[in-house]
Amino acid sequence: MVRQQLEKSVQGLLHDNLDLCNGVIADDELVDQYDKSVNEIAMETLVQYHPVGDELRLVVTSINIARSLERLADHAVTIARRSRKIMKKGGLDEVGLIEPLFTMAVGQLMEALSAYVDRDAERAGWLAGRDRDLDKAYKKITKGLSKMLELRHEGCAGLVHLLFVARALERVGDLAVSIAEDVVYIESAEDIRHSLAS
Amino acid sequence: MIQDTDITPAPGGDGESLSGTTALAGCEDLSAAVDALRTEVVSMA
Repeated sequence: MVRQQLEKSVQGLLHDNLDLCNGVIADDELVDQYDKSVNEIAMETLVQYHPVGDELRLVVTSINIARSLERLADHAVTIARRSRKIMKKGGLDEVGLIEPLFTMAVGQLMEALSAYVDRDAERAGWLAGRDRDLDKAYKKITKGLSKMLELRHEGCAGLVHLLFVARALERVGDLAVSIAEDVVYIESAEDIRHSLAS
Repeated sequence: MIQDTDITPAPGGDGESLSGTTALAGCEDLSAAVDALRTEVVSMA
C-alpha cells in the first residue's frame, strides 16, 4: 500500500499524470486506517497475552514500523501535492532529475520491508549503514537545483516544488533505515539506533 | 489506601478492544495474534 503510494506519486510527477497524484492524496486515509489497525492489534495482544522476549519486541516494534509507514505515506502525499502544483504551472523540464533519487529511496524501502518479511537481521543491519549514497545524491540534486534558481528569472516556483520533492525522497530513505533498525531489534534484540557513524 | 475494588479496569483490561470491538477475532493464542500483526504490517507496507 505505502510503497504503491510512493511509486504513484513519483510516476504522477514524471508523466504529468494528475489522476495518479489525486489518487495518492485520496488513499492516504486508508493508510491511516491501517496504522490504527496495527496499533489496535498490538495493544490487544499485549493486554490479552502478555508476550515476552522476541514476541514482545515484535509487538512493540510493529507499532514503530506502522508509524514509519504512515510517515512514508505522508511524504507520498507531499510529493503528489507538489507535483500537482508543478503541473498547474505547465510542467517542468527538470522533473527527471529526481528519478535516480526515487529509485534509490524506494530500493532502500523495499530492502527494509523484505528484511521484515523474511526476518533477516543481517540484511537489515547491512541496509542500516547504507544511507550515505542517497544522502550524497540528495545533496547533489539540491546543489544543482539551487544553482538553477540563482540563474533563472522565471519558472522558479516549479524548481522550489522539485526541491521539496527531493527532500521528501531523502526522508523516505531515512525512514527505510529506521525500519531496518527496527528489524534488527526484533530479530537480534540489539538496538543499533544512533550507533552508526555519520 | 486504595482498595482493589476502587480500580476500574482500563479499556482492554478485560479483553475488550479500545474501540469496543476485538481486533484479535479468530486469534486463539499469542502465536496467532503475532501472525495477525505481521500480516497487517505487511499489508500496510
